[in-house]
Amino acid sequence: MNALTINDATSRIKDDLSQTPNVADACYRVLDWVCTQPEGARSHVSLQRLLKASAVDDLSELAPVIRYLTGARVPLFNVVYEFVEGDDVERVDSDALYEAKHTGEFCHPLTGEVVPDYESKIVVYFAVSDAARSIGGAGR
Amino acid sequence: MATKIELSNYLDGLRQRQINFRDLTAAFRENDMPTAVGWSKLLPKFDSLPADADLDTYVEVLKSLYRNHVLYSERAVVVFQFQTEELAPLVHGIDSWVETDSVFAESFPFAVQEETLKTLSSDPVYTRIVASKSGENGRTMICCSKRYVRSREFIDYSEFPEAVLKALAAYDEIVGVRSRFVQAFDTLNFRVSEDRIVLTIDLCGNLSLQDVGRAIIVHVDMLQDRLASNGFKGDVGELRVNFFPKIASLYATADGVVEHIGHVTTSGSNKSERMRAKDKDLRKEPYHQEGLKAINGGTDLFSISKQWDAGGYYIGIEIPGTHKQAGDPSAKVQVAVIDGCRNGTDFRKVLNYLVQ
Amino acid sequence: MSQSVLDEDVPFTLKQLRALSPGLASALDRGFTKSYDFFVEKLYQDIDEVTAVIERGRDVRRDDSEDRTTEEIVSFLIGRGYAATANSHQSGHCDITVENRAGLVWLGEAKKHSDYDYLWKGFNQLTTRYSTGAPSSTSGGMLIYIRTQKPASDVIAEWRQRLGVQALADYVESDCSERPGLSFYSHHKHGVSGLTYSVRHMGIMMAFAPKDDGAKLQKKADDNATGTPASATPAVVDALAKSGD
Repeated sequence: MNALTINDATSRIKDDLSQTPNVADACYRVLDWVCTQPEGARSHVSLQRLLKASAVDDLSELAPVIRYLTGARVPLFNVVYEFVEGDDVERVDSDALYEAKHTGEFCHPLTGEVVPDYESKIVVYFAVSDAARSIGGAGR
Repeated sequence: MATKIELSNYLDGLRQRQINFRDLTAAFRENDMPTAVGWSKLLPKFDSLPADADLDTYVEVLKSLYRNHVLYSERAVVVFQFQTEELAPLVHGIDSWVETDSVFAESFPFAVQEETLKTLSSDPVYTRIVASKSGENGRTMICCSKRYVRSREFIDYSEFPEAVLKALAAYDEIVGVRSRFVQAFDTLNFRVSEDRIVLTIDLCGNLSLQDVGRAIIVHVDMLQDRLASNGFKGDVGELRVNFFPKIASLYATADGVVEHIGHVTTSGSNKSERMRAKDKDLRKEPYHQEGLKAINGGTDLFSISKQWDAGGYYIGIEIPGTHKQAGDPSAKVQVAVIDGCRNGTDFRKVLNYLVQ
Repeated sequence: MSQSVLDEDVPFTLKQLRALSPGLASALDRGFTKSYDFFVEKLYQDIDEVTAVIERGRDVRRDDSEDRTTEEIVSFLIGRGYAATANSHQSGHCDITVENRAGLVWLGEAKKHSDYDYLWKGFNQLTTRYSTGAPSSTSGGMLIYIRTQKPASDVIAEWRQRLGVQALADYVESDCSERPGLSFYSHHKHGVSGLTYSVRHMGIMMAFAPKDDGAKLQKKADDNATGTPASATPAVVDALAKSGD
């Protein structure tokens, strides 16, 4: 896996998002924000935090920013899904959710039993990816 | 020659015991057995096995999984420490403690049906020793009990009538509390060479600490009677090892991963810190480190959960003290919880952290 | 949108997100997938979205070359987070290469429809020259830019019929529910891997020949001849006549 540097990230944002300058600007703001976060404080970034960092007006404007910054060109973040029910907190990968969407059934990761209304128990947040570890902090 | 019925019995037994589905899947993968994301998709695969499927191997795998789950799954642990060479004469003839004609013995190794359990005595709690086996760690007896558990279940209210939905509109989640009887498989391990009896309480995941305490008392009373008839003059309850001092040493020992601690700071706050991801060490978390630095490390631990990587999965200990015990030199916590273990090797490794 | 939900420090559940912002929930659905089916499903949704944009704006794109249209599609996919490249200028490369973070690959051949031999050539380039049909690359696509006067669905129907008689190994075809009549799937045994290789054949409507232009010209000619709008009412005609205009 190639490390993503801040120069890579900014030049790709500039090239790839030249037709959508608002999205590009929001991506730069998020990148700046990541640079200011200490290394140990990048593993649980909430949607609210990203919304503030991007300075966009609402969640629908955040969608293209997230798509791009979790994509193949600038893989700044991983999307993290957790199944939370009572005291149980278990990571779930997106492929399990894809299968659940298609089969209509999501099975509890620990008990294996079908969970009704499972989307109300899946929380979402972001973690700076391994590829982007060198961005900001000591590697800025 | 294994049969599909045997296969089905073990699968049902594992499902009833709520085996960790990831552990089940890992074992099936290792043995080229069918796997699926959940029980509803897994069972049809076993129902439709081809005629040439290796049922003997499948049943052996399931038997081993079931046995290990009965003996080593999440358990509350109490250790009774006797004086040197005191235990050996007390366990003379303990094989006679096994009652082969009990209700539990008839269906062993499987649990009896809940309908049958309901008919058994609750006061005193129906408890019978059903099996006894020697191993490298002494003799282990399996002691089954009727046990009352309460579980919380989240209710899918989307199908409720309109009027009910309206009345419940203010709530984000609807939780049901289900009470039922289950059959617990507790164990008593007599380690004569160490002068120790290790009691483990089954299904402790569904029990409160008070419920665990009640289950322990049943066994303590039973041990008291049995050992007294072999000449023991002391009080078995007084021999319980205190695990509270282990909390600080578990935190201080660099190995493993600390998942949770409870502590009271010299700056006057009660803290409960838990890592969200099970494989991350709280001791390395910046917020935890900076907090301790700010008060020169001045804090008194009262509870801890710590885990060790067993090769793709984690085995762990929890010592559940309360904040009232923080800094108390006479604090006692005489029960710990061991979980994540898939087999005896895992269990013994974790137990050693408690007794050594 | 519930501002109170945004202000509180509570985690968003997928259910809440779908209600608040379906677009964002859809963006999150993608995640970092190692599932080839999931990757391709989302990719086709994205390609359909840019196709709709192109089709709506076919008047301003009427002079675009095949390469220009391909570049537009690739730019859109890059904005969606794919590592996508347009290789039209490079011989020995497929027209479009799309890769996700997990290294899953989809190849596309883009062809401006002129005749069906040209499409067949593109199909063979895709399935026998560029693709391997390996497990991480079992799908590809034909993007067919249709500028002819023949209705796009007729072009696709005929192409589908001609492909069906090419005697490809283990060939089956299936409908595309997202763009019925304008897209379909073919599946056959890939010559290199021996695995099933699926191709989505996507007709993209780019013809622009509005028929209302002639009527406008005639109206203008009529107006110039009389100095009076041909659509004027008798009262206006009288008023104009009296004013001497």
